[in-house]
Amino acid sequence: MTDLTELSAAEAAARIARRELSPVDLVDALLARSARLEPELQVWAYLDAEGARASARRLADEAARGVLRGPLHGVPVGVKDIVHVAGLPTRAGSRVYRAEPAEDATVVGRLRRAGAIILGKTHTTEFAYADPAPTRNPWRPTHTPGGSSSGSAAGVAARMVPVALGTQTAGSVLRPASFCGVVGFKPTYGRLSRHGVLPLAWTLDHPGTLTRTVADAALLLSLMAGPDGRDELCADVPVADYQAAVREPRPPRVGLVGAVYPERLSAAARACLDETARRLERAGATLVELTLPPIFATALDTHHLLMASEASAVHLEGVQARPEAYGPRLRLLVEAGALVPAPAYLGAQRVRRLIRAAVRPLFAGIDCLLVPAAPGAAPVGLESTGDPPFNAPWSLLGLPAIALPAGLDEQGLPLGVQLVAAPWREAELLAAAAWCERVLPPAPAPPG
Amino acid sequence: MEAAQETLATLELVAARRWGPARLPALRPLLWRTAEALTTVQAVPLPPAVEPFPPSPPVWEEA
Repeated sequence: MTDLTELSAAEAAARIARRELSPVDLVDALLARSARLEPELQVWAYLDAEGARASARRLADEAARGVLRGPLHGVPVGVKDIVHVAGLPTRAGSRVYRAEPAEDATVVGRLRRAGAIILGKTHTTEFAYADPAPTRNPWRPTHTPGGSSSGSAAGVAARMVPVALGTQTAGSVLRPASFCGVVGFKPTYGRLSRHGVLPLAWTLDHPGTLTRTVADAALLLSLMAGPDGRDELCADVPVADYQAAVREPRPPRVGLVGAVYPERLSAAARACLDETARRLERAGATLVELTLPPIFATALDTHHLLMASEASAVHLEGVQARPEAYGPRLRLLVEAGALVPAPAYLGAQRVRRLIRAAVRPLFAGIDCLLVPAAPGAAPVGLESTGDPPFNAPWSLLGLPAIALPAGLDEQGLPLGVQLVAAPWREAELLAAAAWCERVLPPAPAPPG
Repeated sequence: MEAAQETLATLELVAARRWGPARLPALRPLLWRTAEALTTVQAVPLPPAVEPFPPSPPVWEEA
């Protein structure tokens, strides 16, 4: 008999649609697993067991009558606790913030309308910055799961929920995905609405997904993408058929730009990147050697100025009022960001445009770039969530990016690689990722 | 590096005024990171600002 907690969202939805699986049984299996693992892993900021069971019963009744709300009918989803869910508290990992939203964030509402059950809110670092959540890495609880989408990545990896929402301002979806051995995806800036998502740095913030398969990432994007009048930066750009894109992927053309910041990459991650490139080529991908433009070297500095300034604008009032109630890292960022002169902030926005213009031609003859997803495997300790240098440039540029599991290091911890595509080319990116997923070593479940 | 040192000195002065001298030891690493970033970004030659600045934040045009 299948372990229901192993099902992907797409598999679960298909079984429910065929009346082979009850949403009630699926929710019960996930809650039982959560009950067993939660004391150690600390995935949930708020687990809505009763609400999820009630929703599951309703959706099970509907399915029995042949009524399906949409492609996620009866499938549980986790939501990072900076994203509003109607009826559940939003705490954002903070001691000073608590909301009881009456309305879903747009991305949550779209999943719910497709039949999703919101299982609970997952732990985040404080306001999605760098003061850690209590969450532990399911592969080794003495190691960080990464952040800021810590609970979403750990919960999906630990089979406590099949899919979850995250957000990324620097590397907060793809890095924890890499550390936890799951698929982390963020589309182009402006593809997903941020209505109902607490900001950290609004010109860098991207909603994204944590899943165990590329097909699930495509499924979630297909349900959430599209303009939203409540987020004026959510662009009215055509939405492709992402699920079709991942069904029969062809070997992609993959651009190689080396390690990007070789001095910050571990030997194991470097070997993983090189081995991944060789595997892809042997399986039929075309590799294209490319060179990043010189101005790319300013990307991390540009990102830092924007993030510090904007985070300060968001949190300055709170930090001034109750500095002791903020985590030390966020407090320092806000204090330093308040000192960045306005002309320097605006200059950084202009430099960002120059970097974008210089990087855009790289994608002319390729489907995606292959770059590291993280400096290495999850570092030991829970005091830090690791560093995002391999993700922050793509957040700065607003390009779609996906992290894929690519093997284990000598300690048995997951390593990941990252694919990055041209703006609005999520269909091509997801197709390339789906093809790579078939070629790369299967991502195992964490022990336990 | 020298330019970043000068920027750091300026940031420390402003930080001491704004947040108090007692915060400087904790702030110094991030002030140094910010000084480096300011120095790097301000050294990038920008096109003459004769045209209206584009709106921020930027959203990619449709491909």
